[in-house]
Amino acid sequence: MNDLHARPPGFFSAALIVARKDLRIEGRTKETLSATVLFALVELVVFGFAFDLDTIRRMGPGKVVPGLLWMTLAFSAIVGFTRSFRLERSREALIAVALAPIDRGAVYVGKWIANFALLLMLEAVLLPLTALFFDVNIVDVALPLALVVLLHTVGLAALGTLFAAVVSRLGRGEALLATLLLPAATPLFLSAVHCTASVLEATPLSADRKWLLLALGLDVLYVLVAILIFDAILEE
Amino acid sequence: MKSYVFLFWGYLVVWVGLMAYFVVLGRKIASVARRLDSLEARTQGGDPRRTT
Amino acid sequence: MRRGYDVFMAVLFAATVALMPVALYLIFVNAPEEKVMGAVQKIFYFHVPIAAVTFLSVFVLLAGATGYLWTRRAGWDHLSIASAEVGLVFCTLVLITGPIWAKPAWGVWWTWEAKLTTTLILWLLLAGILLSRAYASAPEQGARVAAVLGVVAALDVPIVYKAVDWWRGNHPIVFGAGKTNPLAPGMLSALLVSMLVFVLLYALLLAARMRLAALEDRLAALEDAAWRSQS
Repeated sequence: MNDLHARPPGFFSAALIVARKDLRIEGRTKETLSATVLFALVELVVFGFAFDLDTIRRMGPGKVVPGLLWMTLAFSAIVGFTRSFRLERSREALIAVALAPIDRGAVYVGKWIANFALLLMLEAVLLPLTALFFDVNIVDVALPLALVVLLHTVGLAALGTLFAAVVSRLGRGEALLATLLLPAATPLFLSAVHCTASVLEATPLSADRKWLLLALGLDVLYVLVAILIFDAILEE
Repeated sequence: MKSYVFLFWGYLVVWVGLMAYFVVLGRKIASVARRLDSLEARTQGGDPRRTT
Repeated sequence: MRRGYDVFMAVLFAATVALMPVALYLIFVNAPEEKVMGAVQKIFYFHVPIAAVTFLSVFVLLAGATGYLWTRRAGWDHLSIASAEVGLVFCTLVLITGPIWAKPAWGVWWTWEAKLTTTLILWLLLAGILLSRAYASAPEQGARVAAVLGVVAALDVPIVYKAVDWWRGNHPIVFGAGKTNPLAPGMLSALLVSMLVFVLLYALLLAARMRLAALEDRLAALEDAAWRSQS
């Protein structure tokens, strides 16, 4: 029984297997991505109606647009996260995943990576559209903007995956996830909005060093804590 | 004088709030204890019965 | 077990009742009136201890949640839910006394400064924990969910504070790093005694709530056994 080929995968390969599985399912159905992107679009349009666009334009790109962008991202992400765990719930596959001979933490990392990838795809659509709808120039600041968005998306995916796992056990859906996730994500959200505002107003990123370090620290903290306690979440 | 009004309300809110919680807790404990006692009494004599 | 608890509660209760008039005397009679704000400043003697107790309860929640995740013993869960609930009560009081103090002191009911905002976030986190618990289909699941959320919330609070502080901040600094606003001696004793009274009150409510949790567990177990032996 000591067949070398039957050895369970190590932590990172296990994580990648989980991520690949999730993304492959998504690639076939495109269910989550379409729901998420569509929701984001609707949100943007509603924001367009809700606020006085002339005032926004006059106030400058860093005043309202960053908050608006991250709000849209946050809520669309929540829609996406809820589905990522619903995937397993409906097919009892969560039990199978939990019983697999891999570290539960690896399941978390895999799902985190998959959710991160999905968010990136969402942002690829959302950022240009936001720039278009609200008359903001993102081309000139593309690089720092990308850095800021990437850094905070990592954290959003990390915290969101953790909370989504918890909420999926309770079977209550997006409303509960939003209620739990958003207060906990306050520091990340504040940092995201602040840094995005800086970038859009063409301030050099070095001025926001402490925020960027905070975001990086949060990313690491969220992932580490989640890996440690994910065991407790997946128990049946 | 106006500042005393605020002081009064602040003070009142704190005591009412804490007392209310204390009372609620007390009543809940009493009701659970009562149910426990009745359940234990019932299971003492013969077959355990289902509580309604 | 029951007897030890009763004695403990009686002692706590007696100590609180005894200290309360002392605190009140110190606050209203002994402590000098503050120059700028007048009498309303005396809310400080409630607001600060209640806020301190709120953050104490978060610490206790973290201990309970971690203890439960580590050992899976019900006692830790009782501590965890008791501290979350009592903490929520105290947190609500902070959020009420805060604006009551803010209005005469700063002219506005609410301001998004660091301490108030963090307390509001904490309130939301605690409410979320209790809500999730209520949604759980089984008590064991509820305990696990609450423990996980409790750990995350407790770890989050200091970070939230720092972040909001960077974002904006102007809470009155009473005893800051630079002793720029020293307390008059009468004020310090009033504050300390008041602090003690509220900590005792917290302990009292915490113990009571823990007892309730233990009783509810026992009731559920008995009802479960009775139901099962019927079928």
